[in-house]
Amino acid sequence: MQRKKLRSIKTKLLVLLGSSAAIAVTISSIAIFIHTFVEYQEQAKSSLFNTANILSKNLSASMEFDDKQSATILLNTLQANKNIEGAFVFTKDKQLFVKYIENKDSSSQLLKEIEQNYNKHTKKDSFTSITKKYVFANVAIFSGEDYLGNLSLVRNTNALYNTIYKQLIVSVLSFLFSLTIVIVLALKLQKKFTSPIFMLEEKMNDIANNRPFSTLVNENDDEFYTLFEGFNSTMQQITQQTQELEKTKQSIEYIHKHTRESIEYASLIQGALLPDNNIFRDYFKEFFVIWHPKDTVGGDIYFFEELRHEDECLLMAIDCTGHGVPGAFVTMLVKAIESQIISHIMHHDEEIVSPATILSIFNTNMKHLLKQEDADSISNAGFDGAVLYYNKKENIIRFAGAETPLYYTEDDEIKIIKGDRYSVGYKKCDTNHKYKEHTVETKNGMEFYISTDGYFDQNGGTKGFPFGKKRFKEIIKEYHKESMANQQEVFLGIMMEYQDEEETNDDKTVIGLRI
Amino acid sequence: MEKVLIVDDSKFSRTTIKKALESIGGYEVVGEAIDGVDGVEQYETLQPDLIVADMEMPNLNGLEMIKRIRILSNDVKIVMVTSVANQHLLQDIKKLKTSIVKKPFKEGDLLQAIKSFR
Repeated sequence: MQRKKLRSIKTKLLVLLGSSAAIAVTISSIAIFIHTFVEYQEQAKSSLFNTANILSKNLSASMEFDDKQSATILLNTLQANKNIEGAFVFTKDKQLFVKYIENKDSSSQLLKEIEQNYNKHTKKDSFTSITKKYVFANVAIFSGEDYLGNLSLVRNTNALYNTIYKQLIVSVLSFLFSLTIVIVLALKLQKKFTSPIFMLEEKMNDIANNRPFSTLVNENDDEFYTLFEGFNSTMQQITQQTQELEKTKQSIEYIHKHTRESIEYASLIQGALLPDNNIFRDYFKEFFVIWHPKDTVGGDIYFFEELRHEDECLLMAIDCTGHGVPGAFVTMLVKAIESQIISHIMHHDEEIVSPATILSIFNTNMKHLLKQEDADSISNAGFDGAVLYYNKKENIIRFAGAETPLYYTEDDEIKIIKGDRYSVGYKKCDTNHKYKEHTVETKNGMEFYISTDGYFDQNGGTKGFPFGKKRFKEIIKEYHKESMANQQEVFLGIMMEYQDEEETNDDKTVIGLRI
Repeated sequence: MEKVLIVDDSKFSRTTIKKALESIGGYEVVGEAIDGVDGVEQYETLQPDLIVADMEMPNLNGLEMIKRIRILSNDVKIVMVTSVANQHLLQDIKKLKTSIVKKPFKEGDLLQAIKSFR
């Protein structure tokens, strides 16, 4: 899975704190500046209005007596204030009575703007207004209750805007200063909040990279204290459990190694029980043997014995209870009984060798040795198998089978001797059971096949069904004329294809012989 | 399509090899020989790009057949499909620029052996 691109919590916290504080400082700075700007404008208007008010009271007498000279003197006192651009006194008929102009060139311009202001108000109104360049104050002049005219006072906005500009610079500087403090604080805060997280992350990386775990030093006084304590406690438990698991693993590995070595050695012992296959050559034109235990050792075994003279031999293919180690144990028992049987035959020259009798002897002995005659016995082992006696001088094969068939070819025809539907040695088997014996007269070129049920019962194919005896017979039918070496390849190849990925069910033994 | 000659006395093996090559694709079986002598003769006639042969065969076994074919051509690709486990024999086969596939084989084993020539 592609790892998601990670962004550090440090950066996120810094951006969050920094931007929040910067927005707050910016908004407050702008608000303060706007408030100051409006305040200064109001102060400028108020100051001019007060001056105009005082001046109008002094001018009322001059206007009552039509004394333009004294009125002019009064207006000239405004020269002291350099910001005053002009003052205009109008009669009640809107005729200019006297005026004072700081800059002669601007007289007409000022009159025009005063006229625009007048038009918005009635004659007797007192008001102030402000434009980009000027502040206006207009007051009505009275003598007692009599309306005499108006005084319009005009000042420029240079001083006002100079003050506001200076205020703006102060505001910007204080904004930058505040922002710096805010960023420093944000850095400090993010470090305080993120350092425990980074400590945890470092420990997690240690664990992920199999570095030894050391306890987290907990100097926190907030929720991180609980988190660190919980982490330390959990990690101590995990470390302890890991150590215990490691010990258990080593113990299991030790046991497994010894068990494997024991089984491998047991496999050598079991292998030593198998005959040297070259002996087959003395009796048969061709042969093949497939002996494939499911595990290292198996419950399948076969014996091939030369008997009292060079013309007779005995073949046994035996499938003991189970497979693996228990199966192998039973093969040992079977081998012991088989040795006794062979010894008996070797010492009785005239006795007819009977495969059926041999199976009966196996049955009796196994039941006796495993104490299976007792109904309460916990042991229930035995085998299925085939015993085949061949006398090449007499050209006969005698066969007895316990749940194991014999396949053979005669004149291109496939024949089957099914054998008894009766196993050997199990508790259910009668101690005195008599197995049926079959005799076949042999001719050159005849083929004989014995297989344990591991081959027939192997699951596979598209539906996972057992291979079955029908397919086994078809293989013989199609390939029995080929060399036995080729037939071995056929039996293995077809089974491999059929089994495919299916698990091996059981040990497999297939033996093919050509007369 | 590469031309292939199969040399095996077992009908089953020939069929299995042919099926595997068809499944792999890119190969055309131009001849099937039943022993080593037949294999050499068909090689001379068909001049295949690849030979898939068995070891144990009547008349002339796989090793002797390859020796004869290598006199004729050092370039033809040869895969030996065998159940023989004799290490000395297998070493002798490998010295003849021949890949080995153990019987019974799976399609992937044969493909891997063929690819080893590339």
